[in-house]
Amino acid sequence: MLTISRIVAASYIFATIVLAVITVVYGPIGWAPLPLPTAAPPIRIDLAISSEKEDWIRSAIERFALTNPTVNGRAIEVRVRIAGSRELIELIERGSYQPTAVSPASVLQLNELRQWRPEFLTEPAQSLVLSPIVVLVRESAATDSVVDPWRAIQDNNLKVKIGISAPTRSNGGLQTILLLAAQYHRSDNLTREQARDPALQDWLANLDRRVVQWPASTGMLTTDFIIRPGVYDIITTYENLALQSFRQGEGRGLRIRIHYPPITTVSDHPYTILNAPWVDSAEREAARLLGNFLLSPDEQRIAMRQYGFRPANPQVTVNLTDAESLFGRYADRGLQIDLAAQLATPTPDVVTELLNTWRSATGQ
Amino acid sequence: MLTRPFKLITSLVLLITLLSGCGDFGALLSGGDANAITISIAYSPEKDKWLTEQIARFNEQRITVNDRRVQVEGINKSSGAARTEIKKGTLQVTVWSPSASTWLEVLKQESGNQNIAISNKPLVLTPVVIAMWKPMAEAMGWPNRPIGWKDILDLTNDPQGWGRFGRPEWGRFSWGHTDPEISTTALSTLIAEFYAATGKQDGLTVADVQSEQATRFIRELGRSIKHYGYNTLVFSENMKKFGMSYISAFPMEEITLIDFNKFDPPPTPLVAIYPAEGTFWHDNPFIIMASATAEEQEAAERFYEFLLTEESQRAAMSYGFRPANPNVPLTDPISPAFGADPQGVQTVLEVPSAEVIVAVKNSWALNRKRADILLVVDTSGSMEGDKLAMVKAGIETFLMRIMPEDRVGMITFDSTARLVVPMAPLSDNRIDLQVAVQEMRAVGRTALFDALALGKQTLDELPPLEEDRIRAIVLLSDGADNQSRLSLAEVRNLFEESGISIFPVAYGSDADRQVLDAIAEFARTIVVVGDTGDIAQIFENLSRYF
Repeated sequence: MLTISRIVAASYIFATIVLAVITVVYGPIGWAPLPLPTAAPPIRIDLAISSEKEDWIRSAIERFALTNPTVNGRAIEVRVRIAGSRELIELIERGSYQPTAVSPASVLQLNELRQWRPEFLTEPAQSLVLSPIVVLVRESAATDSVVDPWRAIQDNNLKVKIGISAPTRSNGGLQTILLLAAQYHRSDNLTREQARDPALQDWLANLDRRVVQWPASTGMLTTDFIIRPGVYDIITTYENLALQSFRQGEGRGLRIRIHYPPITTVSDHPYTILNAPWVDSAEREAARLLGNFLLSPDEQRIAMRQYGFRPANPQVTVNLTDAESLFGRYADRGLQIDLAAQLATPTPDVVTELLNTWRSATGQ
Repeated sequence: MLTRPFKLITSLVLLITLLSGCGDFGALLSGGDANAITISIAYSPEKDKWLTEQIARFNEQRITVNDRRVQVEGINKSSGAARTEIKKGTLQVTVWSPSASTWLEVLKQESGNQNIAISNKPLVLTPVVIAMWKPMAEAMGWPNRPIGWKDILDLTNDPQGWGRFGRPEWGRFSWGHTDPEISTTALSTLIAEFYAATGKQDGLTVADVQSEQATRFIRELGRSIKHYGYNTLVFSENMKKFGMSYISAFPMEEITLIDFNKFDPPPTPLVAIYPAEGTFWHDNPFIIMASATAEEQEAAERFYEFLLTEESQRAAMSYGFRPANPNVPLTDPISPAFGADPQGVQTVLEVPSAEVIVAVKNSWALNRKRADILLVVDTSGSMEGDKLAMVKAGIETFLMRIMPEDRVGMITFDSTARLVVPMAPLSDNRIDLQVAVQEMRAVGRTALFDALALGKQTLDELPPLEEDRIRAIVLLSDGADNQSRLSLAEVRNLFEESGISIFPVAYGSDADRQVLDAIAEFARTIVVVGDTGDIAQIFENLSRYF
């Protein structure tokens, strides 16, 4: 009996040594007759987000993960890609990026995508948050005499250093030149003819001489305004970034004020799940859960209070007396709850014409 | 009972089984780095302390891209030198972080490749300031009155010097300048001077740079340059060592000024003057090169995100950098306690086009002060062999880098000192100098101090010119004086207040460094080692002091 036991033990040890040596030399041999049950792989969703929402969305995704969301018992894993709104759309159009859901800054970019890939946009888009285009001014000797900064941008005889993000790459830049073109033509509904007017092109060429830079994103421009004071006197940006820059500017001793243009345009940050071949039903459901989470009252309150967005969920309202929110804290910097009349959403061909006019005027 | 070999085998099997359970055996054996994505970053020297720490922290965190660990390697390289090596292809890196984006524009222009980089984002910031001794700045009205280049020019042109501000004992205003060919601060300063000369804050053109008005402004301003230098460090050290008598002011990055006041603080601090006409931000860009693979680019992005974290940016601020992460508030040492003003920068000048930057850089050689340089060469017996051969090679290199209008002469010394080539413009006596170099033979004893005295006499006897010139002696020797009639103390007295700089170049491991260091000490220069390393580089660097 003892001999048999020894034979069995020795055979086992011999087999183990042989398998261990093979594993070390050649790698795992991959044979497991009775594999142990493992956790189901997570559902990965890719989210394309415009840069001005980066801080909010990154923190929101962490909070979303804390709720342990699942679809069919599988955990949800969210990956984000942050870029300028137009850049994201171009990547999808070119086929070099395949996200599950997108949220550019404005419906204008979805309209653009719809022109190229209408089949991707069959689901209705939901607005996540809202933010109007505003003007930020650094109080300094150069801007002492500037009473109305929006007019200062329009007055090509006034010497101020202006920053606007590139309209070909950034929604903020596009919204700005739409407003400037509308004001140039004293219109709130731009036409193709107005957008390609040679006189407008000349005017934009003069503006270009006073624009220090046309950066790729509004987020980058606003950061630059804070970290390199003196480079710009006036920039156009989103209200939410302006509110964040008040907080950042405090730590750097900067005095900044916000101004609203007489005609306004609001970025609505639409969120939509793509009806694309690379999005399966589980991923679609996961993206829907994330959308619902972002629109929940708690999350909307965080977006408003900490990140300066106007909520899209009507259950949450902006309160200028709420000292806990950026709106309440910086109410005395020129904040305005009620906005002026809005510019009509231009059609894609008006946008295309205006961008061509801008390109010709600036040589970019 | 199990037999001993059987026990051993059983233990071995158990150990292997245990280790197998720990995970990938191959990775364990190789340390886990065999499959790592390694990226390299060449950065300018002022970021060395910060980035050395951060690279170590990043590598410890084992951050991955596509399940491969990212490993960062740092290369400390001055901005100008890095751009030259990248252009030549001798430096290939994933990321380049010079002091300022200006260098990327220069590289694009000089390489003819506009797409050499795929992205450029700021890492940390520092403005260019005029560092001035606090009492002198206060005399000029600091901090209540804005001070600019125009004020510096007025002070330069005033024969009363500091007497203009009731302090005649400080003499004439003087300042130092490094070489814009290699120093970012020098390049930014020179561009700012051109802006001040033209009264512009943007739109500087090549025609502006070449205009008579600008040339006059730069040359007049240059009259008060007392010392030229290879890098900011030498100036910083000498300002600490010699105090207010060395120079009145020196353009530097705010971080250098903070470092000057923060570590081993001198009795009189420097304060930052943010020029009224405007200045430049040095943005220390994080430039991902187009030659990087897609994975390397992504790894570089992870590293950039790490460097922009609040913890990393606060660490940078402790060294005097301003954070590029807007959520990090400015605190000490970006404060008056260290000579800085957090709100000091009011006006920023437009970075000119690459074409203009190159024109400004090239104008330096034309507008800088000319020099009278006397080569004093040791040909005593102790210099025989390699030392003298290295001296000859060094002088040949040096003469190639001196301007033709500079006046150059040569003294050789052994038991006695003699003027072998009288002072004359290099364009006139280059051949005489080359012949004299070839005829040098090592014999006799060493009369080094007598040779320096003859050198001073030779420079003093030069017919004066209308323009101010740098006056300097380049002393090439092993320093072992054993024959002079004069002593070191007498030589020191002789050169006191003479305005002549002596640059000792030491030869041989047996060089008498005590003597050469003492000479550099009273001459307020540095000792250069002439026979180790790249001789061409040594003498190229030396030529930048004139």
